[in-house]
Amino acid sequence: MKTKSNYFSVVLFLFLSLPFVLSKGQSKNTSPLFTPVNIKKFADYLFAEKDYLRAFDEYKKYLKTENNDTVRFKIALGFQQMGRYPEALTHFKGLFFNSDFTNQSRNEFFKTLFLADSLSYLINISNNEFFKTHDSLHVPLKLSFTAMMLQKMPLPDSVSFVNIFNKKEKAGMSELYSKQRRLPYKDPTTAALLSTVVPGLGKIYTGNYGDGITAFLFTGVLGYIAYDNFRANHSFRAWLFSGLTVLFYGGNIYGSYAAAQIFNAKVNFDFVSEVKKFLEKENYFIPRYNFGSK
Amino acid sequence: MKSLALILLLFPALILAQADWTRWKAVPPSYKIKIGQNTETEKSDGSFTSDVLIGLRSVYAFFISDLDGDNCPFYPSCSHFFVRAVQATNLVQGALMFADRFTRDTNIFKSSTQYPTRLHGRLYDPVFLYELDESKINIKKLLNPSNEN
Amino acid sequence: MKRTIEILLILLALATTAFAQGIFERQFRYADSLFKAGKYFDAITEFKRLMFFDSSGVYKFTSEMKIGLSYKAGGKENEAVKYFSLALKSANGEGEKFYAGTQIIRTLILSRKTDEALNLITQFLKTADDNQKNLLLYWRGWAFMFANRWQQAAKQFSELNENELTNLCKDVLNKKYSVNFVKGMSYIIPGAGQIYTGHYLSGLMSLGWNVLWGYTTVKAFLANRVFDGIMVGNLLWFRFYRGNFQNAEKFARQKNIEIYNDAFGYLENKFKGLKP
Repeated sequence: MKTKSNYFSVVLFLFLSLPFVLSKGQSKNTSPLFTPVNIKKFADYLFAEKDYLRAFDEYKKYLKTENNDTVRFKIALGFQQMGRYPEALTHFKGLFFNSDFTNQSRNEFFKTLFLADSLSYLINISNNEFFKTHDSLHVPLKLSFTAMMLQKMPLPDSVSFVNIFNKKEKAGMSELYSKQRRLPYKDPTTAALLSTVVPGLGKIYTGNYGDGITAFLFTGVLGYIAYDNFRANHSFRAWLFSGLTVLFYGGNIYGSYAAAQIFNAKVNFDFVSEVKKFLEKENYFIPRYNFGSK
Repeated sequence: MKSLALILLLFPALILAQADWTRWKAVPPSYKIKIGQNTETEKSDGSFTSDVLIGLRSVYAFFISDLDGDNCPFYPSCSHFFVRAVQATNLVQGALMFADRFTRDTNIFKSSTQYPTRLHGRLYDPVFLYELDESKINIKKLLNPSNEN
Repeated sequence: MKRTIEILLILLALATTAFAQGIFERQFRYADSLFKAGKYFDAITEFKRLMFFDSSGVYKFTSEMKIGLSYKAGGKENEAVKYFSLALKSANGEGEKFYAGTQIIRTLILSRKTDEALNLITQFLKTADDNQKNLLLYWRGWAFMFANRWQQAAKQFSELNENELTNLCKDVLNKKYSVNFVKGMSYIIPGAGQIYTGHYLSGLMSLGWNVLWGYTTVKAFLANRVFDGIMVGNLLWFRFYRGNFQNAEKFARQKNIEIYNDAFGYLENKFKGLKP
């Protein structure tokens, strides 16, 4: 009984002194808050709060001692979320081979290219073996088709074009595709020709009614003043106003051409926005992730 | 607590953590009223025509446009537009761009679809839209002219 | 034996709590040392870590306040107000609530969200004791200054016997131009307002243009050249006349901002009292 009680006191003593022993002379890195498990827990929390930079700092600490592809993948995703596309691309590329995320990282690589507006490059590499995915989602191909549509490139025959999409995606895509073929462009040359015939008519054609009427009046009034001065033999004034008439007549033809170009750029911009909205809704054809505590 | 409800109402949708997407340092507090610097002035691009135009423009500004009120609703104003247009293209094309701009300026009905953005309180109507170069017509930049001085 | 185990278990629980407290206290000291060293970005990380692991919430209020103060020091007022508001929510007792509340008010003043600051001051005044009241009214004076409501600021500070600030406000009131008066001068004599605000050349040139086009217009009407008179009067004289008083107004406003900024510069650099 005596030995037992002695044994108990020793254990008790050690036990009670434990916190003090531990808390004395410790540097911050040995604090239990900085064990790899806790660093990762905290980092996951920061990541979920979209506090990416701080999350990266923690993840990097974690990766010094542990090997975890989920963490690497999340770092890349964070860069993508922050709009730092070049870094996102590099990080995704690092996971292409020998990782748990070979397919996912390629999918996200293509999504990032799309977000960064590198459409031509995206189309170019979509058939490259290095970038190809090996699953049934076909994300790179789908995004490449979408990019081709935006670039107004001839699409592959309709069968293979729609076959890789699922039913819902197919409906959205074919709607956009047919819409794209009916975009209400204005022809710049037509606009310029119209304004050559009747000053301002080209601007009416591009929908800038006020500008068209102003141009018509402007050229008309200047021309009339020039004509009037020629009749009255005020030759200097006559030539001055003739010059101005020519300048504004020409300027309006020029401006009509430009107005049609701007009109078309706006039509394109609206269409691209619509496509991006569709992609956003479909999450760029990528299934949502659930990392849990991996 | 009532005040708390008030505060939470005032700041419902503060974008979380975006402020920390770049590493920042302490800044000394600044009490002064910040005056929006309207730096419309063009830099010389080294060519003779551009230098002459910049000179003529400042003479015009000194004697006339600084004294006859705020007449131009556009940013950049017509005279700056002319200088920039010539710098971006050439004298003839710049003159045509200016004539078109002047006509549009005279039109009193200016729609917000045509000029969707305001800069320094004026309608943003940049030169890059009118150079007849489709690759330069950047609607994104037209809508977010944050980098434009 | 059973009893022994029970005691052991209780002791274990006590020890782990003490141990955990030690860890959190240490984490708090670490975070606070970063804060004191001015490493605000990293301080925020460590305070966030503390709050994340400290489920007891002992450090919640202080951490939120410190995070708010860090953001404030980094000039990120919106984030600062957000964290002060969180701190207000987790405050224990009137003292902490008042501390968080005044920090919100001070930050709102700094970011010139005057109406919000004034609203909040009114809210807190309802429950404040005398000391707190004086402090709140003091911040109200600052809110007025930051909104360029110098008259109200002067009144507020003189009621609180804050002589230095009262005099500063009165000085601004003495120096500043009345925009309408300056504009009115130029209505009567073109260029007068500009000259009054120190823009001599601009004033004289405005006067010159107005005299020239005014003379031309009148001459045209006198010679019965009505069309010329209307054209010159409308397109030139009126244009320069309007430009003239627009400039007078512009210069008066510019000068006033310079005067306000002198006062703000004084508050920023020389004033030794309590600042937002």
